[in-house]
Amino acid sequence: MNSTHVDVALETEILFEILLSIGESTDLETLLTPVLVRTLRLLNGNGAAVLQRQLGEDGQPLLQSVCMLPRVLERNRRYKEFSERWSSSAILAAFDDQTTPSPLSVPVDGGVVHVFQLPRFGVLVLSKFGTPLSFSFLHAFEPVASKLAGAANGCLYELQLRRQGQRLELATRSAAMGVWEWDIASGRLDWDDRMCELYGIAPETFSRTFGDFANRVHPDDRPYTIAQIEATIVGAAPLPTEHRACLPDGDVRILRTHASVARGETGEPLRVVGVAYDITETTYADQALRESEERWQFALEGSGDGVWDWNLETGQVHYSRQWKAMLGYNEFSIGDSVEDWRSRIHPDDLPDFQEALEKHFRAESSVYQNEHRMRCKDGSWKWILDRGKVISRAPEGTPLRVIGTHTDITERVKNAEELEQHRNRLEELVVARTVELAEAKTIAETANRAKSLFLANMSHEIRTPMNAILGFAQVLASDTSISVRQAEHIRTITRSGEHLLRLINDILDMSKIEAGRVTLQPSLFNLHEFLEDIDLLFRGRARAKGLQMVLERDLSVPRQVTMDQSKLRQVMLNLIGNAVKFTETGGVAVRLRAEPASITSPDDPRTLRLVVEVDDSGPGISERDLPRMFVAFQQADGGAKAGGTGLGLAISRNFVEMMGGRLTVTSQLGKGSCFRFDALLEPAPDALAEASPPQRSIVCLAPEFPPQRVLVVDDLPDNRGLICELLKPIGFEVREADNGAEAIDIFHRWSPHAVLMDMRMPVMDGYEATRRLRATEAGRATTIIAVTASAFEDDEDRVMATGVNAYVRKPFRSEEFLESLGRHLGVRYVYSDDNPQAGSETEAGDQAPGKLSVLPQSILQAMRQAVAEGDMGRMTDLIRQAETVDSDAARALRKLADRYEYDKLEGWLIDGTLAE
Amino acid sequence: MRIELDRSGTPDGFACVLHSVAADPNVSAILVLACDDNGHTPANTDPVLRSIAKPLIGGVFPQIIFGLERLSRGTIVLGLTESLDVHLVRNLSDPAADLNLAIESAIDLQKPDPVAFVIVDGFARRISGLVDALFQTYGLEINYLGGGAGSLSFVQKPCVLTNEGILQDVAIIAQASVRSGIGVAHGWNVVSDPIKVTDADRNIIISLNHQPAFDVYREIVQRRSGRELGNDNFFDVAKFHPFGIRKMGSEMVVRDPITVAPNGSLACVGEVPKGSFVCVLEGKPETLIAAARDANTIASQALDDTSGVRLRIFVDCISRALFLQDGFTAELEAVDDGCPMIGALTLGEIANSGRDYLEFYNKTAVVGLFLPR
Repeated sequence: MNSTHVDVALETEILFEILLSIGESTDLETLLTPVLVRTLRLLNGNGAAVLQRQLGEDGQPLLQSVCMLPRVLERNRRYKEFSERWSSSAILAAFDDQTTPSPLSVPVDGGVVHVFQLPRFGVLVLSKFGTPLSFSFLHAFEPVASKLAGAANGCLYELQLRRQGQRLELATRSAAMGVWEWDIASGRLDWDDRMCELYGIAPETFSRTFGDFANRVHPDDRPYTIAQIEATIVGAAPLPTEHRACLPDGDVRILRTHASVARGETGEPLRVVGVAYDITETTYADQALRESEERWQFALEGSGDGVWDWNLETGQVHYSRQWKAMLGYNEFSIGDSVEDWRSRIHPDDLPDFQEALEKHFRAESSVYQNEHRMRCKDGSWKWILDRGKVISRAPEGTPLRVIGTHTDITERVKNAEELEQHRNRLEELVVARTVELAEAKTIAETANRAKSLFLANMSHEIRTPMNAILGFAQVLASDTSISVRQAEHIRTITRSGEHLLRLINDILDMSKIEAGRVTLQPSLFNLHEFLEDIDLLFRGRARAKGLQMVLERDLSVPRQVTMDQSKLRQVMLNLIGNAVKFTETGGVAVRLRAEPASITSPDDPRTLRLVVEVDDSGPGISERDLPRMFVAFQQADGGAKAGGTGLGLAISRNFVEMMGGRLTVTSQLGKGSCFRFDALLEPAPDALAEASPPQRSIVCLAPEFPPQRVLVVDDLPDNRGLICELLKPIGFEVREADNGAEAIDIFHRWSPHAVLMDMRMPVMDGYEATRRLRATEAGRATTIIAVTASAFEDDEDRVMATGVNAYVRKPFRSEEFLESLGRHLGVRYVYSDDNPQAGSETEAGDQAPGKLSVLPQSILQAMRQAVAEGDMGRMTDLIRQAETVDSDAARALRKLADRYEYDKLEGWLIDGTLAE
Repeated sequence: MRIELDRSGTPDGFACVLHSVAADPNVSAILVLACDDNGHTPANTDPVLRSIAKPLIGGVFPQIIFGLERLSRGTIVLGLTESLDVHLVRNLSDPAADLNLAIESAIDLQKPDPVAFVIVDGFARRISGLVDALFQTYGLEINYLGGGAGSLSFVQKPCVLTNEGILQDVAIIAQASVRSGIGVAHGWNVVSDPIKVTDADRNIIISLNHQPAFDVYREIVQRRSGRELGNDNFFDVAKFHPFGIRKMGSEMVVRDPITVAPNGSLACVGEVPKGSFVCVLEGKPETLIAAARDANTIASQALDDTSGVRLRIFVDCISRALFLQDGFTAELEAVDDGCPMIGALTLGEIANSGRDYLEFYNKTAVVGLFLPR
């Protein structure tokens, strides 16, 4: 085969194929895509684009892509390189001048870009790798390019026509216009769909004749309409015309028609083209408006309002008779200009008038409304409510006509002014009163803060010496040498002191509640045992008064619960204590049950509500006293006589509310009382009821540790004495200092291993002393434990900030205190259970204990409180502590505690003797 | 990257090897090359495929390539460390389907080193349309490698493997980000004058030079081969005489006629556009093997440095294997250089070298070299 011959044949066929791919589409992309696909495939191109030549904003020619394959060609890494070369203004201009050879071949990396001119349209770009297309082929391609350009231009023309058609259609459709065309020679009358709609017919039912049209015109209007059209054709009279159209369904519409005549070269009419639209509604609306206006005018005049009607095109204003009469003029004494109106408006009110009017003219308000003063004929001023509305606007929005009314509101304004004066006076009073109240509130708040601070200080100041008073009263009581009378005095001191302490504790609780410083401290405990303790505690007291005491626990009450044990105890002690205290005959019943807590949130584990009722057969509470029962410092008559603090129930109610419940009472004088409260609790499975780990008593320092030197710093000798009594038996060497300055002095001479620092002392307090010690190297190496009686928990932050190692609040549990001290000193203790003999129980336990005075006062005091509160967990702890001092006494105490013999315990601790 | 072979071709063996690779934490996506003789059906294959949570693509081919071995039974599972973005095109034979729209979101050109694995049902009727759409949408800024799956029984059946199961009349376009070099060559030579395709319907050539296609083709082939060409021996003879579609300035695109219809039209693997020019081709074993070597060379040249090549995928037309018979080993040796090689003998090949118009090839050798990160 002759390869040249084959190639030429192939080229020819390829050109033919590309030519065939130029279809009939009038859409540019639909036209060009198959051409580019075919060209790329047959010529093995890797990219092709058709670009349309356009003028940029700067008037320079530019090329705009209209079809591109692949569609991501612009992202081709070589695209930028060759596009810059073919699309330069110079090349484009040269193309226009026909000075640039077409096609243009631009070599690029690894291939070539052929650019073919598409005459009067733009360019076709073909990118190709490998062998460029032959010169002969490129030239042979030019007719194909021309044909493609023609087709592309055809698309543009078609597009333009389509757009024009669309524009016309849009315009006529938006104006609801029908379009018609009457060819005079053929007599054919074409209507578009809208025209048919206007005549109420389907397009296919219109016969496209003038006669058909004429038959659809109302018979009365037909002669005139035909005459008008004829006159238009001969040029005698232009349309528009209006006529009524009779619709097939019997409806009659009013149509307005505009038309123009297309004429031949000699002026002969060729066809008439026109539009028609429905003016029925407008016509009827105009008529209705006229009638409405008349009615409206009549109504307004009747109401006493004046009417104005302002034609902005002419500047004329029509003022009604009433309008003028309102100002004291007769019908003929005011002109018809705006100035006649404006000149009578009060100069101060003119700007508002003008602004309101202009705002409405700009269509920023739906109606115009303003209140202003107008001068009357007699020189007086009247307040006028002026209202109006633009009822006609030009197409671009300019107002053409405004109408409105004047209402005389002089009387109303006068009333409003008076009212305003009253209101102002009232406001002044309110402001003054508010200032007074704010001041009072500030004073009250300051006072309350001062009260809280005072109470905190007072509790500290009173409780500390009170510990000493009660402690040493106890020591005296155990002295056998005192007389009976002296013993009675000492018991009085003890009882009075304890009452005082309870009072202080109540006051302190109340002040904490008021200061919002009381928080719930939930813990897991055995509620059944807790209740048994309470029962035992009061059973003895009740029996002693000849009362019956019953505690009924429903099966629904869970054994293991998590809630604030301390607060629950306090509430129950208060309620049952009151019941026992005030009841003289009969008895006290305590009933408990648990029920599902329906009000808790899904996340709240407190799913049960403990309901407690304390029912007594006491004197009851009068209706007058009932409302005061829970108010702090207020008591019923009986309470005052019994010497209560008046705080117990208030504190209880607060605690109950904190626990998510309510405390209520029902009572009748002479018929007993029933206090009822409930509290949320989190039940725990009994498996969780692990007995608390057995606590061991500390006997002494482990033998491998040398004696530890401890400096006890406290301004109160009693407090120092208590701590020394605790430390010395364990094996600590102790020295004492009664203020911070002395402590520093002893510290430097004696180099203690630890310092127990009270924070509040005269001369130099513990804060300053600690800071000074910590400033020295030796001080930094020494354990300093703060010991404070401060009542408010958040003082801890301030204390810790001084750099102490630990913080112990009085009163403390001795085991915890010793453990903390030992931990910081790095020493170990010998415990009671380390030595089997130390903890073993002997028959001696059954015997009456010896004198309790050998036990530290702090322990005895704490024991008395634990028994009074029925807190047997605490009592067990205290007995363990007592074991290290007097194991016989401890054993006897444990025996009583184990048997829940509260009466004997209480009597022994108070009187120092064991009740038989 | 991990390559596993199951030689048993049983459903259990298939499941075992697939699960083993899928469980490898270093494997992000899976390519499966399975043999038609394994007897894959939706019933025995879908449950296994649907149990794989990682992107999976693959096909059932007449034969597969494992190193220098050609297997008619068994499964190769390639675990890729790079992930695959898999796009499925359904109803590939539907003449009304808008293929440009169907592949509109298949490939993300913003990703580095884009390569698209394209596996199609080899008996779908619009494979070329799909390839055209890929070119028109994404151009040559991406490497393509793939081919037609299916059976030598020439019966269309489910043959494309996906996470959904084994599917029919679909195409998978799976994009990976991995450096690659692709080479394409066939080695068939022109033995006739150009013939105009005067009527065609996608892959059916109805008339050549305005005469029934079979008449024109038979006349040339009988003259060249000296053998009578009829319905009964059509494929046996035709596999030595494919058509080549002429393009200006590039190697011809080979079209394999596979059946003849009673009306004298010829069905090919891949579309033959109406109006195009075709020639009848002939091959010799040495030219075909040389072309395979060329394909490998072109693929290597596309990479600056081939030292990091860790995988060779060889997509070769099944008809070349049938043509070369025992000599096919030489074709495998021609492209082998010791680097791990897997592949498939396909019903049509899809590839480009980054230079030419993207085509659906027949009877062509395609070599892909990969440098996984």
